[in-house]
Amino acid sequence: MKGITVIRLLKYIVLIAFAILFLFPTVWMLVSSTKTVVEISEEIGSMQSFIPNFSNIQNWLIPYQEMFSRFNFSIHFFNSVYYTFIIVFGSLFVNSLAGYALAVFDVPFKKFITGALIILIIFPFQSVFIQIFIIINQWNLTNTVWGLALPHIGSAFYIYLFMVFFQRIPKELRESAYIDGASNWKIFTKIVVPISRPIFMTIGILVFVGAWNDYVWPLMVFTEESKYPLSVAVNIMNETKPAYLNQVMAGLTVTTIPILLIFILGQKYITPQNSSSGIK
Amino acid sequence: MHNIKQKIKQNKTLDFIFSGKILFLLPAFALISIFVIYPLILAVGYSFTDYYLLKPNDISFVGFDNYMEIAYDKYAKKAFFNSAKYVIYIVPLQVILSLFLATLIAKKSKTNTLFRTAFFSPYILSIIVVSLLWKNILDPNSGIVNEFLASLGFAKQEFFSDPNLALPTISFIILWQGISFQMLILMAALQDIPSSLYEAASMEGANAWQKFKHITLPSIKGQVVFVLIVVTTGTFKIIIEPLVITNGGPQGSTSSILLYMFEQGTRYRQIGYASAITVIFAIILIMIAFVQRKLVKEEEG
Repeated sequence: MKGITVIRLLKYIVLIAFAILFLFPTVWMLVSSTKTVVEISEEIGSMQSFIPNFSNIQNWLIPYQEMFSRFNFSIHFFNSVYYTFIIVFGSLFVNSLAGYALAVFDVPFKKFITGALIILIIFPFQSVFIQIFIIINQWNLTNTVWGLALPHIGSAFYIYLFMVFFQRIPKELRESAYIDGASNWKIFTKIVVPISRPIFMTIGILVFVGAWNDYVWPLMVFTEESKYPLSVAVNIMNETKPAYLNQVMAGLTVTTIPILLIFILGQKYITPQNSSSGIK
Repeated sequence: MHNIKQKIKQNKTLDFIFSGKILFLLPAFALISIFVIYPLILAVGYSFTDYYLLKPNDISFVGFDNYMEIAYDKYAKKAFFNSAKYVIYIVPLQVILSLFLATLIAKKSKTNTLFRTAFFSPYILSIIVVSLLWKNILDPNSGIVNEFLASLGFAKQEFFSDPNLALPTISFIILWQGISFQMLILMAALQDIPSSLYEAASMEGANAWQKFKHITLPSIKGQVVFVLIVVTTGTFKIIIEPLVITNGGPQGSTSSILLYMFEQGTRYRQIGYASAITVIFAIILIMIAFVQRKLVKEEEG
């Protein structure tokens, strides 16, 4: 009996140690974003640096105000929102249509096309971004939203996920509508899309997070600072001297909030099953 | 008229085109051709040329020169070697630690939900946020970790400017963020194992390790293989962390394949040379895919 209690105690010590390891950077980020630079440097290394200063709650947002006015942060925030929405909606539109065609229609060379798709999944965007940059450059699409978004929209992987999902929808649902004279487009938008919400949500969230966090590609496409998304702007903030730690941490916090919201809102759609189902 | 319509209906390809069904496939087909297939062809083509970005009209064929140059380029070799090091440092630890933590908190309870949330929290931070956060935390002069070490009487560590320490430190940061999601996948797999299996084993007198080896591991082998593949490909794709934290330094000790390719392509504008690196990188990805296929096939028996 005694042995079991010791093991349980040990287990909780290990769990708490890991919880601290995973949490302390984020807690420090949040707490530091509410303090003055002097407070941060005085408290560094002590437990105090993880505890917010409750005696002056009214000053917590000052670093945020300073950061927004010093770096034109709202422009970059708006850029990120704008780019992300174009990529998310473009991706959902284009890839779901293709996935539907491959799942339902009598597509010529279907076996060859699906086989090619599966092979293309091997090559992620990052492996060919230099060559994509040459194309974008030749088409004079640098410094435009299209240069940023177009290469991110068509995805073999998401077409495949959509295809697998649509294949499971019972034929009868579509066929009765077809007999009633509905067009393929109508059947897709009025019948298939409404009952396929889970897959649209799951892929939408995946694309959203990927687009919001994208860093290297915007760095290549944009040379005008006013067009940078948050990810690039926040790095410039950290490198601009003098770098005020509280402002940097406020910037990192603001960058994180939309992702947090998406995860909370879409909780039931982000399951490990969803993300591993496409691999087999 | 009726006759022609009939004929079109009978021919699969013609029907696909004239019924408008082709429009469903066309946008994606165009985008993937332009931004996936065409760049791959370009990469192979450019890799045999001396294409310099600022002189697009002055390209000549150089055969295998770029590939030979990679073999003699000290920094290129370092970058490839570093990517292998990242894999060695990150993949085994990440798989083992996420499995370990998943086993500890798989049982559904209120305390475990709390721990799960804590362990999952790094996942919501983007890579750029994680990189900048840890860059500040491990700063040699004003970072909390070094201040903490100093208060305990230890020497301050140059986490990012010591060539022996920089790559392990970045590996740790990547590991710190990566464990969360893999842990979730393995935890879901663990929860799917019927508890009757464990009860039967207990009746037979099996101890905890025997249960883990003979019940747990075989039941979640598929998910472990999945995690292994995802982490390995992910680790080969490392670029943002070393770019933001150390810019590949000191002395190229943290650079990765993709970061080196990015530098050659953007800063030095050597498209031909960068393309040769792309081709080698693509070959590595193909090899990983082959191993994956083999493992999955074995798994299915």
